[in-house]
Amino acid sequence: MNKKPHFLIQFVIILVAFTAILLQGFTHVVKMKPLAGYVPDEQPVKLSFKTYYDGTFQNYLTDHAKRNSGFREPCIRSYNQSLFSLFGKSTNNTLVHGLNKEMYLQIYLDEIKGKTLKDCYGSEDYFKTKAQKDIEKTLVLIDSLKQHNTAFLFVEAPSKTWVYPEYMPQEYQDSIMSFCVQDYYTQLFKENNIPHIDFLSYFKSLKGKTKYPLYSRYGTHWAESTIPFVSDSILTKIGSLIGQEMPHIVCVDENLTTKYSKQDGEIESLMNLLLPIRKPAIPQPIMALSDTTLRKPNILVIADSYFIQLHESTFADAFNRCDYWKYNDEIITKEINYLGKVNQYLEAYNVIDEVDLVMVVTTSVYAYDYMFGFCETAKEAFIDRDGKLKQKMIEETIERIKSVPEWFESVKQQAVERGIDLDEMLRLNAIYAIETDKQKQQN
Amino acid sequence: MVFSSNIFLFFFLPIFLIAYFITPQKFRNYTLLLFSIVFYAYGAPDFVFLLVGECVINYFIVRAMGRTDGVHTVSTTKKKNLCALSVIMALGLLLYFKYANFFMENLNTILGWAHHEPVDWMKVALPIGISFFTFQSITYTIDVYRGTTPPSQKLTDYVLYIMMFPQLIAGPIVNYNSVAAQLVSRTSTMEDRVVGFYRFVIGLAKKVLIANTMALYADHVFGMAYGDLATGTAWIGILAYTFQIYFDFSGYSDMAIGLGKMMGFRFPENFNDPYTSRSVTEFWKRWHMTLGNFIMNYLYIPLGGNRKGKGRMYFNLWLCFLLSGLWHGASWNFVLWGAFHGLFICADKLFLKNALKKIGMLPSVVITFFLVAMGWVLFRVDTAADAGAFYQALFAFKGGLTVAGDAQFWCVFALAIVFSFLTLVPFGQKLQDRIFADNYSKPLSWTMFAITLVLFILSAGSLCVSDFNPFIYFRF
Repeated sequence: MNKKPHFLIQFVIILVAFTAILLQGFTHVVKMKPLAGYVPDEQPVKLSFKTYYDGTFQNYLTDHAKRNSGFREPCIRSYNQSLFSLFGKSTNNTLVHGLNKEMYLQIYLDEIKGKTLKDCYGSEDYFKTKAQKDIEKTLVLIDSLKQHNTAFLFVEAPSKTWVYPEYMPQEYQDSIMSFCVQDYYTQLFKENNIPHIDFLSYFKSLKGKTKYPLYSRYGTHWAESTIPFVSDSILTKIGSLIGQEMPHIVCVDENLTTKYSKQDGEIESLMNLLLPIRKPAIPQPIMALSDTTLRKPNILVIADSYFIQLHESTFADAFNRCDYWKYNDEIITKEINYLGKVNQYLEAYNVIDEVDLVMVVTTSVYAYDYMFGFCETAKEAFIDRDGKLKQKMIEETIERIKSVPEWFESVKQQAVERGIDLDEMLRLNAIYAIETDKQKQQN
Repeated sequence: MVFSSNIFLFFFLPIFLIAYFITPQKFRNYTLLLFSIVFYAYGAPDFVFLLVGECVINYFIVRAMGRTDGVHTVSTTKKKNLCALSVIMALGLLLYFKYANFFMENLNTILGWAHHEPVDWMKVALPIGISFFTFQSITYTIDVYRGTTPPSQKLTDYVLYIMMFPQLIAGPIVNYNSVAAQLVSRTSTMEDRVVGFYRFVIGLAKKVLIANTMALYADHVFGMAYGDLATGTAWIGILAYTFQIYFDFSGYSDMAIGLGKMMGFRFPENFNDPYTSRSVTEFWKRWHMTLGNFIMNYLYIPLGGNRKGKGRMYFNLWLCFLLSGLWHGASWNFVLWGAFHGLFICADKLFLKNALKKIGMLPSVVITFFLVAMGWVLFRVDTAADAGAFYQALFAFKGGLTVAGDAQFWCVFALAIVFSFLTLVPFGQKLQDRIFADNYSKPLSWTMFAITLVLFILSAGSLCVSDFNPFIYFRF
């Protein structure tokens, strides 16, 4: 008889636990609450002699094991919770703990201390030169949009670091750069009469004067409590730009809560803790439109993550169509024909014909990626589209001429008789053929 | 693959444990051998054939050397030649793979001084674990040569002795004699398996929770320009490294010993509270004990030990430490580290040990710890010149660049101090003896089980969290 049955029990527990970990790692049969946050997808590597011998397969397996270890989610949460409870720190090095329990994203701190400017442009002077060119491109864009009866608005969203620098860790407070990129763009917008809303200055002016904080401690975007007046300001401005009355935003209920949802709790969720952090109650207001009978315009919004809250709130209900091109890359729309990536669709930019206004919403970190290249991509795909289309048709018609031997010979003869270069003769014939076809279609 | 990795903890180890314990006893060596080959092949695909090949060749050489039909044995000359062949083969591989680059770098430096063109040389990659399995191979050869143990009767048992994954990469250096019988026949009771698991998890926690935390700070300090370091930061940096290396290495040994115990092997202890030593001599009886035993039995004693006069004894001691330093790494700073310890070993013999005895336990522990920490500077830096610069930072008593440790660092630092010096007090020694006992009472075993469960979850969490820095959105 086993005199130490407790060891048998413990050994069985160990084996069962390891078996469960293994099975979970391969099958993920027990559904775990997924960890919050985005990590780049892994790049699968197929096993071959080469990939095994040079170690790339092993590197992939090691990374794959890390991402798929059984029950990693509770292990990570337990570890994170113990670190946070004991030492008040987070294991996610994209997050920074500031003073007064405020939290920041590292990229915003890098921006305010000038690292982003230095990395992207090297110097303030080089950035200013580039900014001037951005303004020139913006003016061309605005002009083109005007020809299609589409207005333009640039909304400068305020980042927490520029509004509340006093809560940043001391080392960052000591190295705030004197040049604010967003303020510089505001100055240029004013000088060039580019329609814009400067929320950075507005939020700075509101500091200490509002009932509730302008930012959640555990968020990086503008707090849900600011969405009513932010939405209302934008709607009013849009109304003045497109020449129609827009509804106001009405706050139906403050809805004070300690359960931060949406972007108010995003940093907390990114910490992947076991237990919720004790937090003061803040509003998650319930809003409504003051008038739902007014004509609802269509807008296209090119924006960073600061537009997410607006897009998912009553603000979007003021529009018939509110397409959101996230970072000028991902299309978020109710139009089922256009889902996915902007560059997947040749005709994506044709939406500009259908909207009353194009709005850009970015914050300081993305001022370095001006409009996410929308000025350039819109010019390529929309402003110059007629010229490009025509050029394409000419080239296709020239190929058609060359494929018909009699026609091609005839063109060659014409070129000789008129003393014109063959390529030029082909082009003239192609234009004539296109115009003739167009005429026939119209008849 | 290392023990403190997700792929080992969550995939390799569970699969191995299940496969090993469902395999009938007489086939378990084959299971262990197969998994050991897979373990090594995962991290060193180009060297696994070299290692297996070397094992096979050495096995037959040593078998021929140890051959006897009960009446006649191999002639002494032939035995010597075969022994030499085996040792030369093992050392030759070590010298080539580990020291060829070092040799060529120094040769080119000398040629440069003489204004000659450097020799073109394609750097040789280092097979992982070569320092350890070479020494294990040598212990086998010499133990058979000396008649201490007969040669292994099975090729697979010998290959298993060399390639057993618990101690293949980082020791302990197990001499063949101590495991020969266990290779052929061993039992592991439920208590062995569970206690082995406790030991494994304690080692994992030492490595992941303590050593890795110390490493973050130490790496930061040693990554800065030494000339600009504030004295306080330099001191905290070297102390952090001192604890890092101890908890890292002893943690790994604990994991190896624990895994071995789960399978019924009794591997020798490798560390015995080395920082409680009262002299450098005592330190080397408590630090990497299996290396110390190897050096003593297979180098110091064959060189003559202390049997050929005092002068020769000091020379032998110093040479052993010089070579021990070189064994640790192919660089002059490792040689200097070995020489540093050799110097103090000799000083102990001359006067230092007696002097330290007279000043009392605590001062002698502090002085020895100080000397060992100063030695670690040589071990950690890249070059001898860097060592000079770091020593300057330590003793300049000036301000400069600092590295702020956070609450986690200081807490773990305090724990490292406590665990390193705990056995200086009787209560601490008793506590350690209870934790690492051979017999556990039922309440103690359940307490240990709960502790190891918590430590395992925290260690696993720490491993999963490293490099896991999710963004809010993909553009961040």
